[in-house]
Amino acid sequence: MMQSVYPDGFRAYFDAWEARIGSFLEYDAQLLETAARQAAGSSSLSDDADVAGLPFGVKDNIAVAGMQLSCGSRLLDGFISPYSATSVTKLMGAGAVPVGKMNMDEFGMGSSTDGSAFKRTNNPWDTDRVAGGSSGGPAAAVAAGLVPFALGSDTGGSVRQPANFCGVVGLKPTYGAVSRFGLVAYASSLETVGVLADTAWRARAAFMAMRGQDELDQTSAEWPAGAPGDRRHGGCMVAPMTIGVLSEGAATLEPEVAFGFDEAKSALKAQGHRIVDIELPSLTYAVPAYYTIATAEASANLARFDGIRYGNRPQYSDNPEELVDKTRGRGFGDEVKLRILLGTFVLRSGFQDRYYLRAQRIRAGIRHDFERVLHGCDAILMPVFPTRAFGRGEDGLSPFAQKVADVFTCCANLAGLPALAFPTGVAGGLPVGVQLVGPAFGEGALLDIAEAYEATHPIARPVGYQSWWGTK
Amino acid sequence: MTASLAHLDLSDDEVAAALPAFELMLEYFAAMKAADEDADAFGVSIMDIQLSAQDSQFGNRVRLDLLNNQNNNKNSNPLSNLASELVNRAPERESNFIVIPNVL
Repeated sequence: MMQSVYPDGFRAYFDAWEARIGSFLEYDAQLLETAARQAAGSSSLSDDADVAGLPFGVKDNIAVAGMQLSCGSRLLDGFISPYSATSVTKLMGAGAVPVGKMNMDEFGMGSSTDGSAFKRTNNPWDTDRVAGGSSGGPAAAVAAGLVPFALGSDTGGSVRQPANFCGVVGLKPTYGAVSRFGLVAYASSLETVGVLADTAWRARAAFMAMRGQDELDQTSAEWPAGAPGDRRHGGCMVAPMTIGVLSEGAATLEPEVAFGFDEAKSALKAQGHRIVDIELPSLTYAVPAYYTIATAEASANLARFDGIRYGNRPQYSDNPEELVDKTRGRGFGDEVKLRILLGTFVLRSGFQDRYYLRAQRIRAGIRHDFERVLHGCDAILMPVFPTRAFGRGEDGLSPFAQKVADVFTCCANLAGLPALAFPTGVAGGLPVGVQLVGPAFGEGALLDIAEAYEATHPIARPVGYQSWWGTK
Repeated sequence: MTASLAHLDLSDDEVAAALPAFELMLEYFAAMKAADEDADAFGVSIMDIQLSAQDSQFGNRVRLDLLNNQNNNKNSNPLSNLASELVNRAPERESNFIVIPNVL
């Protein structure tokens, strides 16, 4: 380990970074310090060690017994979870230690984490810029080295986009590969629990610890025997793969993002992969279909936050209906209200055919389009987001522009496929990266490609970063 | 109407403030109509794609919210006396009603 500029140890390092980025909503400093001391004492990590002894952060919409579960919303401020999510329980069973809850856009609805009701989370590379969202807290904390990995949730890109903005690895698993039990539902048919990690190796270790069928989640699936690339190769490529490259939409990319994308394409080719151009014309309809389905499911899922079943209720109401209205009116933020309104509208009698059912047909068409392309290649290389981490105010993106920019990420959620975002370099002082989308249960192959890439292109870290957790 | 169904306690001013963003998104959603005729985008007409039950092929499956009392007194179903069983097990009852604490 390099000589530390923090002679007082990890606690001083943590406090200095956390004051700048604001990634946690709640944390146990003692647990973190103990874990850092133990990690420093071990010379290297073995395959057996995996996640054992390592601390991890948890996005505040995933339950950890005894910790808060606010979903970044005033409506749930102060709510303490009585149980843990299966993903958390499995990681704890593997020896990892949950050390805190992390900031997020309210109920996972946003691309900046500025939609949190509690605080801002800043990007460790430039604190005037957003960390991305909605898993901005986990991404910023991992990028700053405060934890080696963290759990997030990905409904339309909420793990991959902040990972991309902060320069860390972000894995959205196949739908059903990881139990959603204990994840507060926003759009149940789209979302998965995902991993944000400092390396592809670490992302794989965390994913392998928490995947698999869970009787508490009827949509979870047993990991299929013989799934592609389901072994570690330590960064050594077993065999070159065929990677389809999506060049559509390149004109919409910020020049630095386009440059990074081309660099990654060249580097993968240099590593021996066969690069072929592919098209996914169905993506034209991905974002409107995604937001139609997501808001419809949100309007149903968030009905439980009524002050009776869940949610902080007002001190006085004249009748039950007023209690529900006041609870929701005062508890939800503007973006959540907008999405509930949209979802309620598209599900109304007389409008379902025009919006919701059409969106479901488009979703099936997008799935069909991906199946067609993945029949001829092992993975698809795509951009993650059209821009690098954006600023705030005049330097920001409007809420509508942020939604339109989900085009490269939300399609994997619509199709239920695994997707892995990983950093490929730095352009103009900010991280740039790419994502790989693979066939269902093809996470291993995506991680193989990323790990081999990382072996020749080490992940850049922000100024002031120090490694406390060992690397593999 | 939609705001009322959503139970968000929105004032007229709040509805007016939310309207531009709401209409912008609805306009954006309307672009999906072109997909019906755009077989090139999907390799097949989406109208011909067979949707699964989860994809709402049959629309919402609903039933009338009516009690069926036909079998209530026949004891043919172990659940048929569930209502009276529940009432009997209540900590406090008045006639055929369960007494619950005042929550408001």
